[in-house]
Amino acid sequence: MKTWRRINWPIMPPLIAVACLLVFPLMIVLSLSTRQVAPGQVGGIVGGYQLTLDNYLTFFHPAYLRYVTDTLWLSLIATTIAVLAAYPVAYWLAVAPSSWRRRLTIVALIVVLYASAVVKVYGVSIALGPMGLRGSIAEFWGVGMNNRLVTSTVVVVGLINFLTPIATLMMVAPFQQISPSLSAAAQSLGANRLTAHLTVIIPLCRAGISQVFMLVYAASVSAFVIPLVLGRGQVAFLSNLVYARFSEVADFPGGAALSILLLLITLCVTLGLGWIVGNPAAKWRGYRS
Amino acid sequence: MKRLIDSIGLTLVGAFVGVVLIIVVAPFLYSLVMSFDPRLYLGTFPPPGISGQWYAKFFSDERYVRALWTSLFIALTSSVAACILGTLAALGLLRIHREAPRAALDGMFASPKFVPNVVIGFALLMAFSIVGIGAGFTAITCAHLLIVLPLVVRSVSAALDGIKPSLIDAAMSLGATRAQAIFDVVIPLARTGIAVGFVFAMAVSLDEVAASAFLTTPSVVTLPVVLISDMKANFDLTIAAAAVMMMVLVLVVVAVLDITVGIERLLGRGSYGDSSNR
Repeated sequence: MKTWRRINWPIMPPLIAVACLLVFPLMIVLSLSTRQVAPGQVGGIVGGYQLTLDNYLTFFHPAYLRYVTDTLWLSLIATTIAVLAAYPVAYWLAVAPSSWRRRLTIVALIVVLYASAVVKVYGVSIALGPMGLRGSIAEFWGVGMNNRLVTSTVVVVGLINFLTPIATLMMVAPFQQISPSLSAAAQSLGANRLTAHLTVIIPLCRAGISQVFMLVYAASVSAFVIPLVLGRGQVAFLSNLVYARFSEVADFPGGAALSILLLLITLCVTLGLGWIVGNPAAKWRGYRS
Repeated sequence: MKRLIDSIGLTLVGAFVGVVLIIVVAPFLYSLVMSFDPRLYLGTFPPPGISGQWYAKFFSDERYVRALWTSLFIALTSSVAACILGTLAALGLLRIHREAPRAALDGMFASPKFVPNVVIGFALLMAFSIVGIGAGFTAITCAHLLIVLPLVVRSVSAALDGIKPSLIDAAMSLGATRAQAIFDVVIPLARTGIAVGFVFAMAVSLDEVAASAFLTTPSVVTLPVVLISDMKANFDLTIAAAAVMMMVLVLVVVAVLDITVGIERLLGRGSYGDSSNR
């Protein structure tokens, strides 16, 4: 009777749900990724089980490497721009007193954040399409309209459009942990606003900002719709490749190996937070009270 | 001198933010304006007049209307399920007092957030095929449930954060059973968190493409998946009209949220904010 009551009943249903819908499927994907591909079979799965690493070894083929570099490099450019632009807006949101302008900005950010990705990607695709600014981008790079460079630029613009609201809302929290009087104190001691910001605020928020950067980067690396529509088949991310393995060539073991690779990359990015963090803000908060 | 450097710096920062702001906002306005285009082909911006033809076309296209209902039904089912499971998870986490197991379970419930949606879709397709359910309504609903669960757990946990176990103890010391304490004390306090979680779960589910793309069947397709595949195939401004309507839907949801909860509260005020709007 006693052990019966000691079991944490409420936590069981959600725990079972996560186990059935996430842990179990991922195990299947992991086991599938080590099976041999059989052309002509449904999903490319052989009846008997034969352990192989072939599905992973193909990643080192130069054709694959391009997808990996596209994913990582274009995401890096877009994340950097999005985080830099989000920074001043988030800082203002964190320190400004409540006003209609602050309220309006928050409403706008949340609307833009939750507005359908379909709207965003469609807007970008026609605004930067052949009838839009695509010609100007081609002119800027000095190449033809269908050059890969132009397509890459369009994908990066699409990613910035998607990432900036996320970055802004996430970045508000680290700034809220800093006393606004610190910047005022530095300025009264002779620093200009820029120096005050660079030497006082940024070092205190370093951990929080790098954390936001990594999370935004992870979101960018796993983007699916943006490279699918804006990449026009010229530029594709790993996520699109997983989908192509399923919808175009029906190579499930290959898709499984790609899924594991994508999962590992995003996990490394998000868990990589740990070693950047030496958290001076936490130390400062300790002195506050 | 000091003021000069300040103003130069602020101007540069302002210009940069302005450019990115245009990148963020302009595509919305572009879709909005183009959805009223009276021309029958994709022409240059701006359109020469105003017309509602693309909206009429959306509602007369049976494929779009059916996908819209499918999307709404899946969003509702998965969000309700996520709210029930997420609230249970938050309640369960309250009962665990030791730090290590609580952090582990917390991480478990947050983990779907760190798995790319494409991987969730692919993995669920493989698992459901093995079990024999296959793709379709159940599979899409389960995928959405998994994707929005972390959102709900977080918002309900945040709402319960202030109350902790002492209130349950107090209610029980006054003669309530544990079940009564939870239903009469804890759930009402968590109501805001559940509502916020529900609204965001709906918004996320209505817009999900990456996982759903694996799990649709010819008869069960969600609206964003249809729109994306049409977008790749042809340039039809019905997509712009549909996109604008989905955006209006989100606007309504966010407006409701602002009126009932107050949107500024979602940001919180940190350690130094004024306490007046907490």
